[in-house]
Amino acid sequence: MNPKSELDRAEILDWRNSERLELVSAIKERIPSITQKTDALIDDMSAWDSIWRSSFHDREIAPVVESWLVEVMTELKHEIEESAQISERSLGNDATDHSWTWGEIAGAGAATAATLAPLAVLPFVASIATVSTTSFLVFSTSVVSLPILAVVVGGATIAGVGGEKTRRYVSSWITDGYREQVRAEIYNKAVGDPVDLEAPALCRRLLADIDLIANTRLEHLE
Amino acid sequence: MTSPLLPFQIAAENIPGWAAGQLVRHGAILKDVNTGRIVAHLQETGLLNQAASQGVNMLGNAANPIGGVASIFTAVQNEQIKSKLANLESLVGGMHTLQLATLATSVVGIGVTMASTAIILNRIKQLDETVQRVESKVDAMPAKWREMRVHETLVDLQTHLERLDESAHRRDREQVLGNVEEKLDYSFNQFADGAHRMVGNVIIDADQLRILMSALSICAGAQFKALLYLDLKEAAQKRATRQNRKIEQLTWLIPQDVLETRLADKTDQAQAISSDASELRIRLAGRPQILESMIMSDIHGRDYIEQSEQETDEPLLLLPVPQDA
Repeated sequence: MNPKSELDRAEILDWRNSERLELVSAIKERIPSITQKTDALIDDMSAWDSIWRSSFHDREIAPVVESWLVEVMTELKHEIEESAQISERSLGNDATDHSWTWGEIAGAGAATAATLAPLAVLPFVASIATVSTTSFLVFSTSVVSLPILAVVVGGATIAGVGGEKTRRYVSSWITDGYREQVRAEIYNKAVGDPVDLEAPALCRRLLADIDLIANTRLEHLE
Repeated sequence: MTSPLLPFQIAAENIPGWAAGQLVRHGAILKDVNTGRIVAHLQETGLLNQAASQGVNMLGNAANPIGGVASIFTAVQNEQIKSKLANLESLVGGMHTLQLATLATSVVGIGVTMASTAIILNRIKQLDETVQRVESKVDAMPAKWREMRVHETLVDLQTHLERLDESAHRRDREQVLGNVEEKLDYSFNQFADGAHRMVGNVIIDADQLRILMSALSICAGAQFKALLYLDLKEAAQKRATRQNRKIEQLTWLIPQDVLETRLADKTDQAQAISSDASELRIRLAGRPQILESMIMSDIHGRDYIEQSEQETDEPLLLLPVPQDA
């Protein structure tokens, strides 16, 4: 038994607690920067795009949000790793001796630690860079859909049925609803769907990684 | 044998790194921030116990349900004690939050608890009152809570503490202490198991959780003291390590961000509970190290406790860590 390791364990749990808190707060703080962008894109949406919103969404909204998610994830992953190294050094240990680097966690081996390797080397990041259809970061039309009837009726109205005032009203109704859907879905993808606790999200993924690092550090002390 | 514990104010100035401000407090230990090395242990004394007793007497049960009084400083009337506490706060408070002001109300203390049996029994009484309040406000208590029989287990805990106190006046002291520490271990495990099952719920009741954490702290502190009286330092190390693992497993399940989403209507309490959990962890985690220092310096457990209890001039004593510890 190493009595000092007991204190180290308590400090690792404190690190995990504060790192999780900071992560949740950091992601929430960054959300307005992306919703401002998507709001602006939706405000500028043409009548044609309102009717063919699916195409607009995949062409204009999804790439912006996906790229933002990848950017935030990359930045926060680096911050977490740096913080873990500082925490490890504060225990009097040499952080480079430990196997909790991102590369190791991702199964890529210690040589591909995130701080050293190009992002694409890391399977975790590479899988996002290619944005497969199953990735939790996909922000395609399927995640924001209006009821089909609303789209048909709204589309028909905008396309010519009814007066100008009615057309503007319907257009605004569709746009507002769409804007709210996008905002809600950005929150769900970034922080996590509060209703579906199992739904994948950036924050949940990084929280799991923090836990993995903390757990690996604890195991190292055993 | 020379006294192993030194008055904090005199000793601290002789610790390398103290003057340079490179020492931080983590629970009951002082650590060098540059090397991560533990340089000394802090130990609360009979003076703090006096202050806490005054606080409890002054404010009775009127304060918060878990801790008792709100602040030593607001409750202590004795100006001499107050001045000593203030002096200590200025010495170590800036170094790292010592939270002396709330020490008497905290679920933790510094080092081996010097709180008198009266103070601890008072805390148990308050916990029990909270249990009754919690149980009366909810029509259908969760089955898990009922199975824990918290009230009955608190009464058992009260009995064990009374017998621990009584042991000093008995010829069969060692046998009584042995029985008490065993029963306190059962109580600890009961509370730990109950808390573990409770935090598995989607919605957690803040009061219930704080009751269980306080009870765990009291059980752990009392049995550690009993083992020290018996000078069973190696056994105490093993016990402490085992209990640390249980507290670790419990608190792993409830980091603050999780608590914030799962405390029913009391999200503001998440931070307080999380802070209590951290203090509890760090305090309990320091026990194996302090025992190691006592083993290396050949200090008898009873001598350690008695010297701490008898100290009424200084609020804290300091046990330097042997160089090769």
